[in-house]
This record gives sequence, structure tokens and C-alpha cells, in this order.
Amino acid sequence: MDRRCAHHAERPAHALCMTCRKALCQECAATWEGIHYCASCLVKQRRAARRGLAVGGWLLLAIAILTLAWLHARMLVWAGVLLAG
Amino acid sequence: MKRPPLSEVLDDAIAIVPRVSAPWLGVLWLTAVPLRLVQADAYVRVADLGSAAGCYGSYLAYLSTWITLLLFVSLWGRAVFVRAVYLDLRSERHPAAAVFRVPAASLAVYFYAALTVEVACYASIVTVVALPAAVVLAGLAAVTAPLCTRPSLLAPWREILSALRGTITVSAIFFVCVCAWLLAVVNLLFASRIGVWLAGSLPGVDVARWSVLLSPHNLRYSLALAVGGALAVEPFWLAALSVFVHKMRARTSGDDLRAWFDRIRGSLP
Repeated sequence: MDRRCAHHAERPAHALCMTCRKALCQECAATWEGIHYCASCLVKQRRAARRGLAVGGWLLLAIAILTLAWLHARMLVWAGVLLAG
Repeated sequence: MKRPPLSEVLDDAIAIVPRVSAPWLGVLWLTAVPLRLVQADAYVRVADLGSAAGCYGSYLAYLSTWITLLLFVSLWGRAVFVRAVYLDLRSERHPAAAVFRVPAASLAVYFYAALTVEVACYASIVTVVALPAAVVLAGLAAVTAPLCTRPSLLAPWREILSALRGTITVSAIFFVCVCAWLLAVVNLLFASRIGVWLAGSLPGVDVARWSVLLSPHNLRYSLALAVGGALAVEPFWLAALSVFVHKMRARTSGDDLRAWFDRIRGSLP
């Protein structure tokens, strides 16, 4: 069966969006990490990826700050004793 | 890449500090004073304990916890001041509340970088270079943190390394600020001596007691002078580093040319 682009009825389908399974012409199909997506699904995919990355970054940063704050208090005592002794 | 000349950086910094002084200089000082005084007080107490300091672990841990908590307040004050300087450099006018709202990612990245520098400084406290290196890196961490818009463990170091491409200018700014700090300390010392001398003409003032208290031989007073000098120089130090980083980035990205064209276009009839 000859499939047509979901956004341009006059154009033949070139690819399928791997998320919403819409048929897409060459212009509408966007490739990300080797997989075809339509524009709206690609935006959702990228946003989710960025959010995941940000959550990971925040978590790492929070752990690093708490560890460093604890270390800072300990190192202060150590440096104080070293200087006084 | 051509670095901005030192004279240009210092001139701009001296012009900016009075412009952002109300109220951002107050925020910087109000948040820095408690930390600096508690640090000085802790130093005196540890010096009093002497070689017995090792036996007072829990007491020292109590002091260090307070210093660590106050450090966070001081870092926030520095971040607000640097934000005010950057907004002034970009000629942006914002309501006061917007300047207070430092982006969470920049603030967190700054906390992380500054704490790392402090810990590294304490770890190498016995070396000569620890303190100057920590002052320079802490200053660069403060002025490069606004450039980090996402939470990341590597981004602050990338920005600091990029700013350190102008090591000569940064070292020159540091040298100028150290000289300014020494001058500020000497000025404060002489101001207090003149105050004591003038107080001698007033009846009922125990000049001998005040002379001993306000003498450089008194460790508490010497540290208070050092803190006073540091507070006086800190805004200029941060402003000079902010101007330097801003100019370095503008020259790389072409923002300085864009600003120049805008100025020319604005001056046309």
C-alpha cells in the first residue's frame, strides 16, 4: 500500500516515527541517535533526556556539596590542631 | 587571544563598585562579616589552646560546624554581589528582588567549587602557596559560576581553567589587591591609634587600657584589622575579576564588537 506523509498528503512516506508510528516524508522525518521521529516526538524525547541529565547532575552536585561541607568541617579541625600544635 | 590590559580592568572595576554599592556591597559585607569574625575568633581560641588543642576535638568540631554554616551564607552574599556586577556590566537594569534570585544551578556549582577550593587549601595549609592559590581560585570560582547554567561537576573547572588563560592579568590583579589590603590594614591601624590619642583628651577615658587593646601585639585586634582590610578590598577584587572574565569572553565571542557597533549606531543622528 502506498503510504503518504501524515503532514503532507501529496508526498510519499519516507519513514515512520518510532514513537507515534506516523508516516513521514523526507522533510518531516528527523533522525536522532539513528532513529526516525516526527518533530513533536523528537522535542518530547530531547526534553526527557535533558531532564534526566539535569536530575543526575543535581543529584551528583548535592552529594558533592554535602560531602565537601562535612569534609570542610573535619579539615578545619585538623588544620587548627596542626597550626596550634 | 589578546587579554584585556590590567589598567582597563582596574579602571572598570573601580567605576563599577560605587555603582553597585547600594545595596549590594551591604549584602556582601553583611554576609561576610559573621564568617570572618568567627574564623578570627576560632583562630584565637585554637592559639590559646596551643598543643592541647588535640584534646578538645568536640569543641573544635562545634566551632568548625559554625564556620562551615556561615561559609554558605558568605558564599551566597558573594554570588549576589557578582550577579549585580555582571548585570551592571551588561547594562541591564533589574529590580532588587531579581538580583537576589541567583540561578539555583549557578549557586550550587559555586558552592561546590568554593568548598573544593577551601578543602584543598586546608589540606595543604602548611605550604606557602596554599593561601594565595585558594584566594585566587575562590575568586575565580565566584566570578565564573554565573557562566555555569547547568548542574555539573566539571563545568566550574572548565570555566576556571579558561579564565586562567590570563594568568598574568589575574596574578597582577591579585598583587594589586594584596597591596591595597596592606594599605587598608595600615590605614585602619593608624585610624585607631589617632582615635586613642584623641580620646586621651576626654576625661574618664582609660587610654592605657585602650592602647593595649588596640595594639598590634593583641592577636584579636590584629586579626580584626586583617578582617577589616579584607572586607574593604573584597568588592574590588571580585569586581576586577568579573570585569576580566567578562572582557575575555566578550573578545572570544565577539560581544565586544557587537557592543561597539551598537554604540556607533546609537550615536548616529
